Amino acid sequence: MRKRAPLDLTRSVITAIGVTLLAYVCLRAALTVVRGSYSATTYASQLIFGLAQGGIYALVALGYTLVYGILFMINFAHGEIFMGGTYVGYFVIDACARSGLLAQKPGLALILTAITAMATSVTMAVLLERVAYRPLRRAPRLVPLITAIGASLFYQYSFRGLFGTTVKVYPDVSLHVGRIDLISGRYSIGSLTVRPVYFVVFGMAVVLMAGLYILIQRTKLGKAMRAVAEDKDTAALMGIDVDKVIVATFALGAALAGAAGVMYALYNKQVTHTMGFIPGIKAFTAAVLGGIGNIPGAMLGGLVLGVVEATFPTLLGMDVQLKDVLAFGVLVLVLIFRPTGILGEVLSRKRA
Amino acid sequence: MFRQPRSRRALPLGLFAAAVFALPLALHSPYALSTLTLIGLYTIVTLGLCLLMGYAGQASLGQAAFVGLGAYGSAILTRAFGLPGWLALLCACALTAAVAWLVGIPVLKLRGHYLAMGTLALGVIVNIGLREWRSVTGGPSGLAGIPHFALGPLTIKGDLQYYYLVWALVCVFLLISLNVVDSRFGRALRAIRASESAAESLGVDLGRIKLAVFVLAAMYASISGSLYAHYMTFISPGPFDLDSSVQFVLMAAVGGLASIWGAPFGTATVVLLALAIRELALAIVPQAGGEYQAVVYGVLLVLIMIFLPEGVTVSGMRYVRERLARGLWVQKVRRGGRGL
Repeated sequence: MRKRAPLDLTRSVITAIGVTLLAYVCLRAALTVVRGSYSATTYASQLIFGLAQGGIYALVALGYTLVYGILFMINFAHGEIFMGGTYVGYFVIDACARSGLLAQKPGLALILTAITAMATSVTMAVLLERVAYRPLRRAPRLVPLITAIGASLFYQYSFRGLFGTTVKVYPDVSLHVGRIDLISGRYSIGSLTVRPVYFVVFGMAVVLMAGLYILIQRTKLGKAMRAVAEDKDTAALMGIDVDKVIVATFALGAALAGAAGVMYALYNKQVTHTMGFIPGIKAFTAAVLGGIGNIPGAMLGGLVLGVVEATFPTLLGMDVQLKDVLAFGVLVLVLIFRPTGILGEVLSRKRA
Repeated sequence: MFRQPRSRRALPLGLFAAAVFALPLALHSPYALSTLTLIGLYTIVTLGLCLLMGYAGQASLGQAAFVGLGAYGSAILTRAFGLPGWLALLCACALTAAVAWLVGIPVLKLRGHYLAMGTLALGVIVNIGLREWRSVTGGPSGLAGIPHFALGPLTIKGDLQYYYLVWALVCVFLLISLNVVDSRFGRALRAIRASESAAESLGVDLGRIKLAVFVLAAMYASISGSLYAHYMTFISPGPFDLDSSVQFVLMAAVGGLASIWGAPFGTATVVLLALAIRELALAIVPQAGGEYQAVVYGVLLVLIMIFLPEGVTVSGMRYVRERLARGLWVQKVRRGGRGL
C-alpha cells in the first residue's frame, strides 16, 4: 500500500488522540486506586453488578452478531425486540402476581414470563425480517439500515400507542432456595451487600450462551448457519434453505434478547417503550468490542463493557449521569482504533 | 455531459423563488407561516444531508447534533457575549465546522453501517453534553431569552420576516448545492458513492473529499440551528436528539437522497404529513399523542425504501417527465440520481 502525506497526518493525529486518552484514563484510574478514596467492597460490588449487566449486554449483543455474521447488516431494531419481549413479559408476570401464582409458584411464573417474552421477541424479529429486510437483501447497504430505523420507530411507538407512556414496574419476586431469596434478597457479608439476583442473572446468561455455543457448533441447524455465514450461494447449492436459516438466525437472536429482557427487568424493574434504545446501542458496542460477527467475541465484549461501565465512573471520578457517554465513547473509540474488535481480526477484515 | 446549461438551472430556481415569495401573500394565518418557516429551516439541514448521504454515500445519524451546536453556539454568543446575530451565526458556524472537521478525521474512516453507528454515538454524546453541562447550556430546561436575529441595523422580527429570511437562505443554499453537485467536487462525490476504491484509483483524494462534504453538511446544519434559536428565542436539548437526526434522514429519503430538489419537497411532505396525521389521530382518538406520527414515520420509511428507493420526489418527477416525453415524442429522458 502506498502511503501519502495526508493519510499519514490523519493517522498520526488519530494515534495522538488515542494515546492521550489512554494515558489519561490509566493515570486517573491509578490515582483513584492509590488515593484509596473507595474501599475494596465498593469495587467488589461494582464488579458483581457489572458482570450481571455485562451478561445482559452479551445476550443482546449475540443477536447483533448472529445477524451480522450471516447478512453483514446491523439489525438496528434489535433493541426494540429486547424491549418488546420485556414489555409483554411484564403483562404475564403482572397477571401472575395478581392471581397469586407468583407468590405460590414463583419458578413456574418466571418460566411462563420468560417463554412469553421470548415468543414475543421472536415474533417481532421474524416479522421484521420478512417485511423490512428480506425484500432488500440485494439492495445497497445503506437501504436496509434506513428501513431498520423505520422499523425501530414503528415498534417503539406502537408500544407507546398501545400501552401508554407510564412506566411499568415488574413486581417483586421472591424465589427461595433454602434460606436464600434468589431474586429480591439482599445479604450482608462483612461490609459487602450482596444481591444474589446478580449471580443468578450472570449464571443464566452464561448457561444461555453455552447453550447457543453448543447449538451453533454441534447441531445440524448450527452447521447450516455456519455454512450460510461462510458463503450463501454455495450453501444453497449444498441444499441448505438459506431463507429458513436466516429466519432461524433472527429468531435465535431474538429469543436470547427476550430472555435477557426478563432477566434485566428482574433487577432493573422499570419497563418503558424507550428502554430498548440505550441497552440496544450498548449491546451493539459490546458486539463491536468483541469483533462483530464473532460469537465468543460478543460474549466477551458484553462482559467487558458491563464491567467497564460499572467500575469506570468511580475510577475516573465521573458523574454517574455521564455513564452513557462512557459506553458511547467506547463505541466510537473501538470503531476508530480497532474496528475488528478484540477477537474479530480475520472475520472483519474479510467482511467489513 | 454532466453540467447542465445555466439557464436550465436558473429557470426552476427562479420559479421556486417566485413561488416562495408569493406564498405568504396567499396565507394569512401565522400558524401556516411558522410551519413554513420551520420547513425552510429543516430544508437547509436536509440539503446538507443529501450531499453527504445521497451524493457521497456517507451515512450520518447525528446531524441533529450539528444543528444543536449551531443553535447553542448562537444562543450563548448572543446572550452572554452580546454579539450581533449575524456574527454569532458565523462564529457558531465556524466552530461547528471545526468540530465536524476534528470529529470527521477519525470517524470518516468508517464505512457503511459502522459510520452510521459512529455518527449516531457522537450525536448521542453531544445531546448528553447539552443536557448535563448545566452551567453553559442550562441543562434539560435549556436557554431562554435569545434575542431576535440582528442583521446590521435590521432586526428580524415576526413570522413574516423570518419566513423571508429563512426561505431566501434556502434559495441560496439550493443554488450552492446545485453548483456543488455539478462541479468537479460533485463528480468526485458521486464517484465515491459508486465505488470508493475505483474513485481512489482515479485520483480522487477520498479522505479530503469526504471530510469536505461532512464539514459542509455540518455547516448547513449549524446555520439552520442558529436561525432556529433566534426564531424560537428559546432552545432545549430536546429538538437536537437522535429522533431529530432520524427525522432529517427521513426527510432526505422521502425527497430522494440523491436529489437536491428533493430536499425542500421531502421536508415539506414529512412536516405536513406529520401535521395531517396528528389532526387525523386527534379526530379519531381525542387523547392521542405524538406516537401515531412516529408509527407512520416508521412505516413510511420502510415502504419508501422498499418501493421507491429513489425518493418520492425523484420517482414522481420521472413519472411526470416520462409521460410528458411520451406525449411530446422527446426521446431523451434525463435520469435523476439513482437512489443510494
